[in-house]
Amino acid sequence: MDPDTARQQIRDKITALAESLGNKADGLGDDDFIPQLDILDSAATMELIMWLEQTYGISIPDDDLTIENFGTINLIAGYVTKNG
Amino acid sequence: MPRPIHVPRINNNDDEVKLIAFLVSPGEAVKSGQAVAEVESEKATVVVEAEEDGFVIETSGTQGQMLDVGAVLLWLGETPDETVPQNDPAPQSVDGQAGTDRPTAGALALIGKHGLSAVDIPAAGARLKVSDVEAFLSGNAPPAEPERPPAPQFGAPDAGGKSTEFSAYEAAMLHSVSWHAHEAAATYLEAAYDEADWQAFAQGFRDRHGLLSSPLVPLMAYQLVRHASDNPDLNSTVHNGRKFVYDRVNLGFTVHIGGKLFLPVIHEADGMNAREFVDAFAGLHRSAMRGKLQPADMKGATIAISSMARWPVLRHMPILPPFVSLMVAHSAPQDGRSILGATYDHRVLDGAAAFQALNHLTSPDDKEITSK
Repeated sequence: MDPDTARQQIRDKITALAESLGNKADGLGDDDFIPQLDILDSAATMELIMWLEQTYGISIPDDDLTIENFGTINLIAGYVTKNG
Repeated sequence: MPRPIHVPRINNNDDEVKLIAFLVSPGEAVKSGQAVAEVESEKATVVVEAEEDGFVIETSGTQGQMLDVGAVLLWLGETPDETVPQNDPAPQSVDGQAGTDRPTAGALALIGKHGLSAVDIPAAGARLKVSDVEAFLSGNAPPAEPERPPAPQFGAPDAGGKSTEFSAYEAAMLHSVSWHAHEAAATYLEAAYDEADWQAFAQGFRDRHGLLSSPLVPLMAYQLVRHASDNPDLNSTVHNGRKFVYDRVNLGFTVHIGGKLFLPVIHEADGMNAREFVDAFAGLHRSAMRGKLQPADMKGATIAISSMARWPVLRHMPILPPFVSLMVAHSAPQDGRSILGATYDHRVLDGAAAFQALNHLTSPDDKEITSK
């Protein structure tokens, strides 16, 4: 999988989820710490996780749902590339 | 050697379930944990999963057919060309009890209702079923009480259409709404508050615990649990004309998935600390999104909370789940103010008690949340 493509897909999904909640996510950087931006609530975060599983054909164990794996776009892209 | 996958029990009182669909076909390879069929009862739809890797050899039943709980649903083999044993295995006891003529749960309930003894009732099959008890009652005993006529309905649809059965999901919703409308003395009140304190508190909790998102609603729900634990009237209901105080606090919360509303339940929430509760809340939410909620995950609520903040709804009046006397409604803030509502059963709680509970939730109580 091309990491640049994955990063762009993930950014687009996060932006769409944020906008569905009325939050702006324009200019979201690859290393921006997503939890502290407060653009996704817990339900949207879980929707993102489900989308990652379906899009990249991976199963994400509960123990892996950490900021170390999913805190930034770069970390998420790294996780799905490694496990996809 | 082929291994059977049995029809699961979904509800204690349903001895049969309807086959919605097989999700695999004979000859197909399946993996452990893969969904192989979908079945439904009156109250829930459940996905049946393979417990091991193998090949589907044979399926039993057709779409829409009612299947006995414990009967063989499909056979799995190590290769696709194995044959199914000629002698079918005895139906599995899905309740973990042995005995071929042991009454089913539904039959037991009926036996108890009519004050009968199981040994007096002949079984037509391997187990004593509801149909056996009904046959016995019609032939040997007067009904315990005359059947009630259907509740009178005023008027009728005055335009063309057709009458259809409710789906299992619709029937479950109808059951809840009917309990709210006809059993509970459902009443509503609300309080205005500034959510800024809760937002700051939840963000702090998120950062301290390294969470991916702010757990505002789970923490508010946890504070409700703690308050209910200290105030048992909030954790009570009415049963058989008597007050019924629950032993433990089981928190139900609404999840809206795919156009359907579910109420997963965190059991014995009063025994958890805040982090355990937040994790349990998130775990059930994920199960719901994955379609993996089991019937047991949605039973036993003693108190509840609903949030429609993400739509964003500014206020809503939740329907009380059966035998729940207080359900808190969290909504979206507007111009710095938010509305917290509560539907409550006035048979158990008066307005002052409901308001005190609600008012208690308008700001985070750090001491209460972190005391365990």
